[in-house]
Amino acid sequence: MLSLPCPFCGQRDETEFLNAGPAKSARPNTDVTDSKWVEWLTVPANPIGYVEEKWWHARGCGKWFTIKRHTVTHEIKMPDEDDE
Amino acid sequence: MGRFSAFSLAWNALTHHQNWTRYWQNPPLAKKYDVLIIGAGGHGLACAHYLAKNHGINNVAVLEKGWLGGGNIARNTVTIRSNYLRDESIPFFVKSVSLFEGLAKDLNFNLMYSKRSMIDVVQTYPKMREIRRRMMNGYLHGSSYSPIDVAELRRRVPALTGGGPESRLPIIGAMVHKEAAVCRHDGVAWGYARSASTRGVEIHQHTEVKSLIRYKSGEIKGVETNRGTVLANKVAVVVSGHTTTITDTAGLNLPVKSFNLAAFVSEPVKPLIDVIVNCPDLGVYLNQSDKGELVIGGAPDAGQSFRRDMKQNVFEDAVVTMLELFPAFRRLKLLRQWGGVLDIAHDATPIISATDIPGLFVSCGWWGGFKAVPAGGYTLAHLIATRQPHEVAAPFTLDRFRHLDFIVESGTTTAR
Repeated sequence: MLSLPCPFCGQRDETEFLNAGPAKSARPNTDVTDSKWVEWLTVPANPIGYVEEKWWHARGCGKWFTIKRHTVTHEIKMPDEDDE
Repeated sequence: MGRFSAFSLAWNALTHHQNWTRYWQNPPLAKKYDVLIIGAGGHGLACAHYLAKNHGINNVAVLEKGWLGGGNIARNTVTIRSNYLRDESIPFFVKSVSLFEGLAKDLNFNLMYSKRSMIDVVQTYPKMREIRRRMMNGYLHGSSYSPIDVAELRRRVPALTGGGPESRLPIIGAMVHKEAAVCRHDGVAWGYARSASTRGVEIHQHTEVKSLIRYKSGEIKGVETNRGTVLANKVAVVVSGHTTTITDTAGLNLPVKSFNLAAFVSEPVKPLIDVIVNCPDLGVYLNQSDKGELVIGGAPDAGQSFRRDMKQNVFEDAVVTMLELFPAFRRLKLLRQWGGVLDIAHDATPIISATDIPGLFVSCGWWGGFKAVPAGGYTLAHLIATRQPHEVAAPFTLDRFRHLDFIVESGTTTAR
């Protein structure tokens, strides 16, 4: 089980949270091409490495937050930390 | 390659089983092929078989990083079914179920195919509505799905003693999918490999594709492996959860994410359940294998993952929910657990498609792709040979993302 860093409650068990999927980059401007728009909408990063994802402390304080998590080791980092 | 028959069994028994021929050959790796298939799993080997059998293309190499049939074809819960929701999906899975029925004969390989019905146990009204919608769409496309009441459900699955009126989620009904079956999953991989190898297809295990190579003009040129460069004008990526790992090397972005889905088996017990029981409201499903073990699957791990184990809290969730409906299983010992890496597309519908890179084909987004192995291989072979999608797989191309014309499929995952 993961231990997730809730910004409000501190480290809590994964079972208190809901995974809300990959954190997306900012929505493109309206002058974006169709193909770039589709890519933004449908293509997530899927690396063997760190993904940025959102979690919701649904069975806790209700806070939403973003972390980086390794898809093999489950190691967790803050979004501003380096992947190394 | 000798054919399996009563005569060949008797003859080889008399000669102390010293003269069986190998299922597949191990020829040296050539520099160039007509078609390269990356991944010797169910879909890849099925594609090789149908390329050779239906289209006469046998200058084909199947490249496998690990060992043949060691990926998700070795890690599933062997369920074959076609009770999907969408007009686009049902004909494809009906085709797959019908190919499975004749597969043992086609491959001359005993797959221990056992048609045994799947029963969905329904405990909430939203699920009941969704499942009735699937029933009506199934009628239109030749996939049977019929309601039974709780008394009939308990008669057919006597071990199901939980879910009474006092429980948290009382059972309100059930739905039977008669075409559902199970079969020996490894046999499917071995049977297809044996048949493809007999027809001249080469299978190269322990040959890891490091990257895809393209011509300057953009077309696919071949692949770089740990055993050197192999060239081909047509390359198919059939590697389930690791699809993006391969396609990323050519700069191709695909709308899929990888997840970990796991299952576990109990100790063997006397025959107890003769159908596949699926409990979509709780997110658990089970069947009993020929050895007597209960094969139990749960929900996927929530976040993207490339792991092949089972997370403890996911495992506990599956066990706890199963015990709500089958309290007697509390006494069972569990023997093994395992997981696999699966990929799911943005709209939860498979992708069998040509790509923006001419000559590169992908078959991915299967989620649980075991039930789709014959039709997936059949239609991918058709696509590779003719460059046109087969009619039952025509909705599954990448074009649907280009036009935001999604096929949002709720029947993809058994649980939830």
